[in-house]
Amino acid sequence: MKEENVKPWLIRMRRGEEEAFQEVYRATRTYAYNLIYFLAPHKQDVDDMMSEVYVELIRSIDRYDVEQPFIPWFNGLIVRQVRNWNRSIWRRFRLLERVKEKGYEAPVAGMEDKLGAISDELEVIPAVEKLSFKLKEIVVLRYYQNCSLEEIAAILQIPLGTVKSRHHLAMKKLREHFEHRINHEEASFHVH
Amino acid sequence: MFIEKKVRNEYEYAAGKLHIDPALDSKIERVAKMELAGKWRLHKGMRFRPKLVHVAAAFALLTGFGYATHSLLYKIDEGSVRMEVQAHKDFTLTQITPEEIRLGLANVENKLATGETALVYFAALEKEKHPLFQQNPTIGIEKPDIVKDWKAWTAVLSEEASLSHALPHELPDSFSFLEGKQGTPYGVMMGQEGQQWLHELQEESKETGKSVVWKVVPQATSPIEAYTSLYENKQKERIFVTVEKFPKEQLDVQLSTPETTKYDAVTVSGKKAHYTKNDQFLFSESGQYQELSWLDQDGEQPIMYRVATDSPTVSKEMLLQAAKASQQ
Repeated sequence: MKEENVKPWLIRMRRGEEEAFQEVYRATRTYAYNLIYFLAPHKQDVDDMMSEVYVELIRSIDRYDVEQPFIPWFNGLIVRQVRNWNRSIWRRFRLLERVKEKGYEAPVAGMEDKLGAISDELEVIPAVEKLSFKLKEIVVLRYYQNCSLEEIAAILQIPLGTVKSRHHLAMKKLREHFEHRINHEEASFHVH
Repeated sequence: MFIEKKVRNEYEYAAGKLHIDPALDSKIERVAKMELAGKWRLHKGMRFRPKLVHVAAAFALLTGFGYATHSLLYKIDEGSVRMEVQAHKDFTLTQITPEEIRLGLANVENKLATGETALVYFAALEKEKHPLFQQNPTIGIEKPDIVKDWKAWTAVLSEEASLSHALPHELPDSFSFLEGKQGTPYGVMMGQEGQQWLHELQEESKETGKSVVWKVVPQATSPIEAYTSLYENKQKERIFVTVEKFPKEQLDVQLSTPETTKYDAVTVSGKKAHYTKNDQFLFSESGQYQELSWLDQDGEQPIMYRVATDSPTVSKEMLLQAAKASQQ
């Protein structure tokens, strides 16, 4: 996604032009989907989150300052939507939980894990998935989005010091996980 | 740097393996179309936000008032339930227009996450003539969880609302189930707890000079559990079937409506029912709201049914047919 390709359409989208939205969507869909996927705690919610992100984009496009870069602003919008989803999910759960206990399973489309086929090849991402959301969002923005720590602080609207400490803690946990995994594999090797 | 490089490489690799289901593209296109259409109407001051017709009920729940200016439209006194519906004079707004209220509420709703409830304070309401507005210048609003799957929704009605009979998927005049949600068709029934935030919101309004201020509040603990099923036909006419599960303890409810509200006593499946037609509804763009309501008993559980519409073209007879169908 290139800023200069999207901006003219964003300006037209503010006027309510449907065609402009379609162009913005085409240019941003893969970018948005991947980021949502890596942030989402429950992968079966990704499609619904994606819809919410684009509804929110339409609703809040008037607040976007076209003089400012779009990508960081869009990143912030995506992170907020995923967080909001996490906050509201408990109510959804509560509403249907007792029904589910009675034997009815609500249908959910696309439940299969899209990375299932390559899961054996991934060593660190599964560990990132186990981090708290606050740590995970830092890792995803830093290592998937290549954001600087300063940019992350601006996107998440938290102090730079907080970003640094969360980043430090996240990497410490990932290193520990990885070292433990290597030790475990070595131990298994000796047994054989 | 080993772990940093590894996580970066894995994300790059995994991102290449992800793909978007074409069905999702179509869904987003549809949703965006509707949202853009709504946004365009909003710019033209025409956005229809039919969220708050039940605000009169919310006001009444807050106060339990009694004024000399009211006349009794009808009264229900059965078992543990006592309900009075009163017609009031001077319900007309003079300090703020319904459009301004709708716009203010729409702005707040847009900022809420699904499942969140907010209390919105309008300084202008406090300056209105009617004591009901003066004492309760706040309106509750929520962004509800919507259940679109019929099977899941019937399970909710059966298990949560304890309905012993199922509602139909179709109603006469080609109405089909569109979606269900917890709560009344519009607005939030806010209990006494709404008052505790009033002072805080008044102060904020004074300090900031803003005429509309709001805050997210915990989910309202109304004594009535309501579940609303929305039906729609091809003409986009809408009918709401609301099931209100009342507490088994004594419950007194007083509802207010403008004095121009028309009333008829009718019968639904052999039960005494009440039809009201309000042409001064504060929160529907058409200004109209028709409702049929009756109290029923499901075992020991008192249940109030409300079959209502905000579509001016839906007739009283259509509502009666829908009400009968909801009981079969």
